[in-house]
Amino acid sequence: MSKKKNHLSENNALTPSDIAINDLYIGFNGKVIYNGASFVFPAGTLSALTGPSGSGKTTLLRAIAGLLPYKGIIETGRRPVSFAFQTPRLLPWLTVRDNVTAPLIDKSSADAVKIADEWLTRLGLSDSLDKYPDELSGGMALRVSLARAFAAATPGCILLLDEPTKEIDKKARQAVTEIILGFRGKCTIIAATYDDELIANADQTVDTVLNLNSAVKT
Amino acid sequence: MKNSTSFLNKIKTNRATARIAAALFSLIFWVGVWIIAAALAGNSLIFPSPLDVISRLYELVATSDFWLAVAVTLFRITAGLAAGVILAIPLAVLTHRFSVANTLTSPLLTIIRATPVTSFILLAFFWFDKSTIPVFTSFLMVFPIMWAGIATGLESVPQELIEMTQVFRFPLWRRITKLYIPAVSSDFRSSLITSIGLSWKAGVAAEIIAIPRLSIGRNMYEAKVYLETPDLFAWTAVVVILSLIFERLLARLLKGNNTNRGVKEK
Repeated sequence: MSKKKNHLSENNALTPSDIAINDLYIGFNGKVIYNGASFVFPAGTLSALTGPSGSGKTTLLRAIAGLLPYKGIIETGRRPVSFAFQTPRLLPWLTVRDNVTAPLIDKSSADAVKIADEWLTRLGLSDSLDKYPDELSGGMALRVSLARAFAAATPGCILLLDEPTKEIDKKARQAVTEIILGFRGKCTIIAATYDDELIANADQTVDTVLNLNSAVKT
Repeated sequence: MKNSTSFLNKIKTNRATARIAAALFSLIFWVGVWIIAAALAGNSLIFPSPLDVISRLYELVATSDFWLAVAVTLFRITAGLAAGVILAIPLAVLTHRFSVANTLTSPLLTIIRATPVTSFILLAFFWFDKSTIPVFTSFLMVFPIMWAGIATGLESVPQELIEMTQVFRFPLWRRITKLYIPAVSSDFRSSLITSIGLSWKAGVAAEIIAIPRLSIGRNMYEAKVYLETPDLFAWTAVVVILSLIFERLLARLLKGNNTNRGVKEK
């Protein structure tokens, strides 16, 4: 992560918490995705969820974010969640900058703009601050979505990233990977990902790789 | 770049000129048809010519009674429209949020829509004084349209965006202003524009039946009673013009933001 100072380093109000999952059961449309699975994602670490399409990576992230009904226990220490979804989910009537400032509810308007501009610049979007989502390419929109998640990732939070480097060019992918690594120790990060930069050199990057094959889900 | 901008501006200007020319052609054509029809009728009592109507309108606008009638009718229609819009918003939210409320209120909506407006006007004689009947009638025309329009808008808010606001813990006010209002505004605007025309039609019809003291409807009723056909045409023209001005003004007021960018996801 670059040494550039950002809002994360200015506020250490919360420390990250473990995410403990116990006896998780999720099923829909007659298909069981998780059947009594238990995992722990240690506080402040970066965990990568891998596995083929349909193995339950997104399902697990959505359950942790509270977007899916489930049986069992997901203990998150009541930490706030920041989520970079697989699709951008940008508000079409807001500019790129306003989309990133929108979740920054506890910041003054000037601070929110400063934080948004900082993240958007780091992700190579400084020329697109006043554009609307329908003026962006798919990859640019995904980077805006990442900027929003990074900007909203307050210290101690749970940062969920659903395929954060998909559809992003190689140069931007390196920058994104560097940013994600910079959150280690500040947030508990779980990234659903295919084989890419984030897990290519797992020893140096990811703390835990959880391959969601059928064995770990039961 | 500069050349392409001026080329685009030129195309826009040409299109605007073509639109104005088409509108003028249409106007001239129908005024021509009107003149021929009036000449064929040969009696301004049965079918007055455009000249008869314009000269009568010219006389009417010079009187204070005309402006008073217009102002009071305008107030009544606006009051009915405003009441319809204001009450439709919470009810649409309620029926969107709770299916029980939707089940309970749907038959009411269907009944209001299916009942002839004159039935409501006649019933209103038992409930309200003469000058309130047009307000009530306008309200009844506007209310179900706005209700259905807002409810449709709420239904179409993408679930993905709702989830996004939940994950990022948008407070209620921010959810309303950043998500729901922009998402619903397109349906709201089109329902409102439809409502305006109907509220004028129904409101003036109610005035013609209820005959409140100061009103366009009363003047139309008297024109009919005294066989002053040019007056009837003139007052009808006034209603049409006022309704169009009202509609354009509100459409312009509700424009001026980026909510027309829609809810399509990239």
